[in-house]
Amino acid sequence: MEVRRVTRVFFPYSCLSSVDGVLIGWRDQKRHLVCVVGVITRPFDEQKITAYLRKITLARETRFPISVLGTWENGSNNIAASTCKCELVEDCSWIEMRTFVHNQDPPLCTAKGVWRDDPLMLILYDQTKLLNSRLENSNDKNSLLNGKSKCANVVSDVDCIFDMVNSVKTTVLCKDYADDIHIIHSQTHHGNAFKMWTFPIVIIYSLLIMSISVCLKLSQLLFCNRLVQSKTVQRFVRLPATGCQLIERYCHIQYIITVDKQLKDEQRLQHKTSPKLFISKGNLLSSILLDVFLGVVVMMWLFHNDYPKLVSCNLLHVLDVVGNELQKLLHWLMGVPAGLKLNSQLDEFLGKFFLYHVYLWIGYLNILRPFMETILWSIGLSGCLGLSVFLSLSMDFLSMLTFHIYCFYVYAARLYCLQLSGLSSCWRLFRGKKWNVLRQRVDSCQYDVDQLFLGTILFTVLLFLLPTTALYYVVFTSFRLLVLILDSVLAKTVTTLNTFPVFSVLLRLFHSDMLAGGVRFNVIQRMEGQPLCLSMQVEPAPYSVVLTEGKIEQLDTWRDHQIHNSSIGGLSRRLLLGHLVYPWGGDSKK
Amino acid sequence: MASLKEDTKWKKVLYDNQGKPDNYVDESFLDEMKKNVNTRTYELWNVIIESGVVSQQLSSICVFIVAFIYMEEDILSPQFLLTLSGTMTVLGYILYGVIDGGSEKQESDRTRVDDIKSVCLFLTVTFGLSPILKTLTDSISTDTIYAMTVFMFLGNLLFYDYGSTGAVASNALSLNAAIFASVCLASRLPTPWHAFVTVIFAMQVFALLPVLRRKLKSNIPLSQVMMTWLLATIAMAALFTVSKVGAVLFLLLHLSITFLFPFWLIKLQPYKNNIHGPWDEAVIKDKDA
Repeated sequence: MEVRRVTRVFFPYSCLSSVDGVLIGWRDQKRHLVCVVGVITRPFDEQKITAYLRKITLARETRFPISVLGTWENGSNNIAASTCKCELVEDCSWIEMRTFVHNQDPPLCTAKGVWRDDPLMLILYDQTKLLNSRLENSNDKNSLLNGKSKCANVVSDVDCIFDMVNSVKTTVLCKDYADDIHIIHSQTHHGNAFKMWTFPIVIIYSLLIMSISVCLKLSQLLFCNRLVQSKTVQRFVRLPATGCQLIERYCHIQYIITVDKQLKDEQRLQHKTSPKLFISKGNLLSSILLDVFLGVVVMMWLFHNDYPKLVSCNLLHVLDVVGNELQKLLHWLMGVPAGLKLNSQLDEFLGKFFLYHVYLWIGYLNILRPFMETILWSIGLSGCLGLSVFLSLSMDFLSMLTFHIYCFYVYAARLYCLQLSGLSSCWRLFRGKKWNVLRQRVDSCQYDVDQLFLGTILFTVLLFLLPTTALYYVVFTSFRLLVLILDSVLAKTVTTLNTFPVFSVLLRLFHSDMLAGGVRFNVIQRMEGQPLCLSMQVEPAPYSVVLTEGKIEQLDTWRDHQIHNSSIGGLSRRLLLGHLVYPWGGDSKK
Repeated sequence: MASLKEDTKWKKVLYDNQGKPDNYVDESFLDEMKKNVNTRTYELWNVIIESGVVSQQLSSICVFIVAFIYMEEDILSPQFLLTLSGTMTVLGYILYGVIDGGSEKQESDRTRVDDIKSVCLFLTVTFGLSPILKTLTDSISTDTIYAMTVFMFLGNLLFYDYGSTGAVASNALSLNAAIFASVCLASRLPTPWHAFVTVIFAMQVFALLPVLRRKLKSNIPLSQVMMTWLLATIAMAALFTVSKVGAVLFLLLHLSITFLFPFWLIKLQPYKNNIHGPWDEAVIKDKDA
């Protein structure tokens, strides 16, 4: 027994009040879908309609074939017009719809021809809303990547309807496209009402884009030579956080200006990309504008209260205190810290080594003293370029100030790591085993007597010196972790500023038609014996989807350093073994 | 089945329905069991003589400890110990060469130059590291050091390769344990020079002397008894000068190892009751090996 598919007829609200005519739209036999786009009202010339339909086909703007679907009657009892089957309807099945003037009930709809015996379902939809919105679905990305559409089996029926209505936007639904034919659809009564207030916005936008593209061209002339594109320069520029941030913003601007030209014609034909493109461009632009606005606000606030001078005084005082405290700490470590038993020679050696470094750092601070205020003032001024640049500059400044802590940490970590690996190797020798690099496991091994002797002596020495090294490592790692936490907070803020989709959220708040998240069907009351009638409402997408879909991706794809494992387990393991930890909280490529 | 006149003999198979329950056994039960097939029979005097290996090692450990005690009490000067042990090593080396007759030298690829290189390496490294070794355990209490030493020497005794193919024996571990113990002890001495001498002496006693002993045992079996009693006497005499209790204990231990334990082992042999049968795991013998 074969299952009978229900034929679904989509009909726009705006055509409900139209006069008699023929229905035009798209029909799919396999999916049993019929989508009415408009009504061509009488009187019409059949040849003109045929010519019009051919014009649409030749224009190649849509891949859904438009044809005449059936007849539409409103109120009249013009049986003569309806009984003579229109020669335009060439196919073997068509729809006949009828309604009555000022009737609130949904129109009567019958199928004729091949679909005569199939059950029918009428779905009313709002065409304007469909034109404004675009269903967020993940199949979209697949078809974009392939370049050609793979709609046939993957896309759902509702997606097809959306695509179809959007694809005829420039042909059927355009007011001036039809020459002599009078079509009723949603755009017929579209007024020019709000064109007035969009004018200034459009002018400002185009001015902005023009100025930005001029700057972009200039910078491309400067930076696109081979020297700048070389690997060392690229890596060097990305060393400080500020460099990364500036390059990221540059990539954003480049994307806004040039992405339109990069799209090929087939993709534009699908009409899938243009709303998405619009939203992503809007996101980038709004993110940059918000950034600059916040940066200027912070800058005003800083200069209004004369913070640079205040902060520089305090900062220098704090740094002096820190230097003194470090020296006291090292002297304490060289003694008997917390009653721990340390090897006195090694202790003294390490302590003196680090003391000398602290002395160097105090000297370096003294050199920096007169410039501190100027540096802070210029960092504040960089707020013009955006809050993210300001934060990145402060991150770099913080790294510069705590450079000695970083050095201490690296020394202590390397020493500890070395000692630990030597110790583990000697321990294996102690038991008569060896690490097999080929098989990545521990194997037994026949050692020579002198190897055994040397190995044991080394093992003893390393073992008894381990507590001392471990203590220095623990002390300096805790300092470094403190600095890293601060660094990570700033980096996370910068990343959030870079990726937050402001425009999408604003759209969702004020103009939620554009961001469709799904459709909802409501049942409309009908008379007995009539097919089921639903009304399709477009639901806006929930905020979580808006935030995740609209998130700005990282456009700067030049990645050199390794991906850092930032889970707690991985971090503890690195700390325990003495491997270096790097700041986390920025972007990590998955 | 039961209608046959003569009862067919019950076969130990399960695929044939013999009219008996599955766990039935007849009088041929356990016929295939064999007892004590692979046991070794021991002879008393052999065991006594072979047990000398253990007492030799024990004696060397005691000699080393006594030497350490002398150096700590400043009775023995390190130079004297160094020269004495150096001369003994050279003599032992010559003896080794004589007994050997050159056969083992050709087997291993070590030439005389290699040996001299090893000696230089030991001396240099130990001399260079001796200041560190001396101050290594300054902050650790003496009791901990003594406990670690005892533990390490026990390990040495336990893991020493006594010539049998025991699974526990590990040449590397025993030597390393002895060297570790000597380094622990060396750090208690007054000067780096003392530490150097201790480590070199330990090296000679625990690494070079066993080699000589093994060679003597394999080439001249008769020297085994002499070596055992010689070492035991030296150790006892040394211990006697340090502590009488220690000497008495050592004597008791030595006599037990030499006489009591072998006798006990032989006495326990009749109680051996290993059963073998068709239920044992198959042992794959390589015909060509």
